[in-house]
Amino acid sequence: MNDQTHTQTLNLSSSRAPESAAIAGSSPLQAARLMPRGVAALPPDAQICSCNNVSKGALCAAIEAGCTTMAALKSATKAATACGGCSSLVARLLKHELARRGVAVNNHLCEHFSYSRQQLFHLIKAGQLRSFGAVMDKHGRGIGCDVCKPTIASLLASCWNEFILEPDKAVLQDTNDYFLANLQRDGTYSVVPRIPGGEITPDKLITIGMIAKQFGLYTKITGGQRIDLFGARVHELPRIWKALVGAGFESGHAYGKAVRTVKSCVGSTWCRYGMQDSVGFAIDIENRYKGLRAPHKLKFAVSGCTRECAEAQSKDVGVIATEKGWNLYVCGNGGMKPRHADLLATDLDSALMIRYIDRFLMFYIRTADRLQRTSVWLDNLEGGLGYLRQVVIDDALGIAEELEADMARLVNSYTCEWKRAIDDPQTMKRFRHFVNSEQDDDNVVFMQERGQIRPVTRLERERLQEGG
Amino acid sequence: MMKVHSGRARTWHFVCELDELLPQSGAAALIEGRQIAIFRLKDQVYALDNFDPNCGANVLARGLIGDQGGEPVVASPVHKHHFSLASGRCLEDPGQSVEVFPARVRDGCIYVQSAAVRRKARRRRLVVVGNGMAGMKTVEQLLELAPGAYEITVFGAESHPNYNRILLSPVLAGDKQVEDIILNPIEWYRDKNVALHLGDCVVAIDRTRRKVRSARGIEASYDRLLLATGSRPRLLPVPGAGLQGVVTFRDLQDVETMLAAVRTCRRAVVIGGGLLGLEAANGLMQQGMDVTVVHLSDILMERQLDREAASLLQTSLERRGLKFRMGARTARILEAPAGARTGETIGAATPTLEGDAANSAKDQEGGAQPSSAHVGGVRFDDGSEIATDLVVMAAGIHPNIDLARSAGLRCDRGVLVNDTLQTFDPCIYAVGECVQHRNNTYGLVAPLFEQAEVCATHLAELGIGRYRGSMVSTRLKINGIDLFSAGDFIGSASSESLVLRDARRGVYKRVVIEDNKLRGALLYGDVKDASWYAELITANRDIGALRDHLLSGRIG
Repeated sequence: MNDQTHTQTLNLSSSRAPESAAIAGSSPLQAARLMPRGVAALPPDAQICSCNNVSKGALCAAIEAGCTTMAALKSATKAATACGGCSSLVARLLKHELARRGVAVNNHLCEHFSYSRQQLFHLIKAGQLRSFGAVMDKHGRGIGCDVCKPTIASLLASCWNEFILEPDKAVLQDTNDYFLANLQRDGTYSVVPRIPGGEITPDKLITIGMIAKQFGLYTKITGGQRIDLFGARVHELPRIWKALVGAGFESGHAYGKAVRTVKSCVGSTWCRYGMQDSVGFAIDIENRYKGLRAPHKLKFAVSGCTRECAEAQSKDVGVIATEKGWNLYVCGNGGMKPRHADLLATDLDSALMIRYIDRFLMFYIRTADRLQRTSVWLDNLEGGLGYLRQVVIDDALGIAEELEADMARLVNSYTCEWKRAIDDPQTMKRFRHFVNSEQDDDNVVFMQERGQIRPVTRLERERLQEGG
Repeated sequence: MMKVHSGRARTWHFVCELDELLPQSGAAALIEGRQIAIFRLKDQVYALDNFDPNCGANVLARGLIGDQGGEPVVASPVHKHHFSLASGRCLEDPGQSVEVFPARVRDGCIYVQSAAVRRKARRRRLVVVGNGMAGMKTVEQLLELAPGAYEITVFGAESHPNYNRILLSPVLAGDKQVEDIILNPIEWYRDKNVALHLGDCVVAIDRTRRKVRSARGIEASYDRLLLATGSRPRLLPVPGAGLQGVVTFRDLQDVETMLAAVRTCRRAVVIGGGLLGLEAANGLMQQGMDVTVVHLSDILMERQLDREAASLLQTSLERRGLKFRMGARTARILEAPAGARTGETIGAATPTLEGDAANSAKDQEGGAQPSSAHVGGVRFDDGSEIATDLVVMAAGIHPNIDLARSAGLRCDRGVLVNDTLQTFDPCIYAVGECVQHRNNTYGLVAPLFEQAEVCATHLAELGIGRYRGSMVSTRLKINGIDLFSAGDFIGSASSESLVLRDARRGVYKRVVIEDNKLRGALLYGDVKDASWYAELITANRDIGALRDHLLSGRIG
């Protein structure tokens, strides 16, 4: 399809779908390219790696001094070696700086695939490829790595939505997806049941409390209006989830690069100022998109009025009620690099809103780079917001119907992964710490703090060992 | 737990059936109280410590398996550090590794041993032969990439720590002192824990035992050996080359010899009108000597200049007081009549070359037997003579490969190396002027530094970096003369030259273009855009749009 060896220049994660190439020449939006975007726009003293305090300038200096690979750059500057949160930013900076120096760079996924993520999406979809083996045989080389395996697993999920723990797919998953839980620093996992829209009955609250008590878990309310249960060992996960599923809970997909939560304010039902039923709409949206796998996590919010109590403008998809309907905001982010969402469309009714979100999400899934949040994706999208509007609202590419149909297929094929997993004895067999013993990991030790457990620190562990 | 005994210390412990692990997945096993991560690729299994040292948790078995450049690795699920399944080394952090356990599949079952594969406890040893710029640049880079990876021992034939050889001419000219050009003072070696043997050169390499022996009898074992023996000046094979007062221009000792001569001598002849010869001649002239440059070709610096630029240069140097004998072939160095001179003796051309005590005189193709008689003049092949008190031989250099050759390493003009600077012996690397790479040898510093950087990445076992040869550019380091050349500035039938002459400003520029690409540049009198031209040549990009103002230099 696309030529594999093309040299990317400034715009490294050119987020234009291959279909759009046809209209690229005549696009009136090319002027939008003039502004430096993404990583190019950062000043030299901008901090890239906050763990090790590495600035853009320091990274550029290291690149100048000959670090032309991620490994060399990480080793020389220590950037992206602690929490790793900045590694995609560092990689983009490296590519950008190399391109600026006239070095041919590419956005190939990794050494095993000479394609970008968006190219692979189309190869998988057009070629009806349904397994990593099939993709590797046809388009890759080697045995793969921790970059291409989860990426292709995610692409397969975005295309076909099959159970991610089928044996051939399970081995592609990052440990979070492999155990359908979030790995914590001490090797235990956290459990996050879905609480759509943040609305929960007292009975369900009690259930969560009972389960947390039974398994001795630490509980915390999250920013996404749900409850996180920490300190679960691998072998406890199936029993915890049997209890949760039995009480009507579903997976919250907190472990996946997938739709996480739809935060909401209480809306017109109770609030004196509310214009629309934000909770109801948030629940509808969450139930529609739950489990949707994407290049990175997706967070939504619905606010019932312009006071914006749900902070929708800091979300990938933000919906704010107006007198006449809903305004749609996209590509906000509250994380490492906060970004206010852009207003994509105004005064939509619920049905049209859903269609626009369908199109927006599928377009993002098709064209973004791996681990690229919507905010960064839009910042690097040629033509920017105007182009996005053309695609989503004006259907300039003529793909809107296809995007909606793709989304409908994904919505209709949703199953709760945890429900599926606990019904599958083969999968459940893997939920143990040792393959040859029923013992626990004796390295996991908790202390009590403020009436709950927490992992011991290294220092405490050393003291315990001395004492024991 | 079932055990299969095969000797007490090395017991193979049954873990599970191979089929219990999905291909390309891992699982932790508890073996004699140890947590061991078992990984299955297809039918092959590996075993590492399950403990990720970066986060302090038993999680490695839950990492994703893959390969990096063909090396099977597991990516820790916590912070994605990669550990080699075969060696346990951490790819991101050379200082870190996890233990490796023997693992195997027998009759469809996985077995491991609980005693870790013993890793070499000692640090690896690197011996560097040659204390010059290329060798020390490599060591500096290596210390940055992998501090503590090696115990480093350096042998240097000269009695000085590493200095900037390029700046010998300013020292000769009196513009700089010896201290000014030292790159790594003795304290540097001490701080970095580098064992330094000065004034001692390696005379033999025992490749089987991986040991070197020095002239003073010091023996040093190595895991990796770096040859940076540099080059040696060419001594003309003419009678009289061994007389007192015949010197070369290669190292600090040569400069000291010449500076001593300045005090007692009035006249000097420099044989060789190349870069080095002209810098030597200029230096001696600035020290007050009456200097004649003798050159075989009728074009000065013919490897770096064309006829036109060369004649501009010659005129300019003549105006400063240098004399030239062009197109002159030296036939003999003449002895001074006995008693014609008084005063102290000046050293004869003495070898100060690294790695070479066994064959200690410089190229003695004829007549260079050391003699106590002093030089008195130079006779040319047309029978003419000029009188002189000092002769500087600057008729080129060639790679110093005697040590490499005597060790049986493949050599041609230089020590042959591949793109990783590795010689035909995988334990031995070579950098600098002694190296022949893709049929090129280099005598300028930029390529040597490029080699050093690449070589260091391989010594550090990062396995990155390839040296693919260098575009060579030259600047003459004589105050007040601006001269630069790079690439192919002579051109061929298929190329074209653009030339600018500005006699009033004393500027001459020539650029050579082929296929709309800049192939070479020669600048005289105005070199402020030198690096721009060098970049354009290296980048090999289409300069069609620049062509009209190419000779005016960079705009803006």
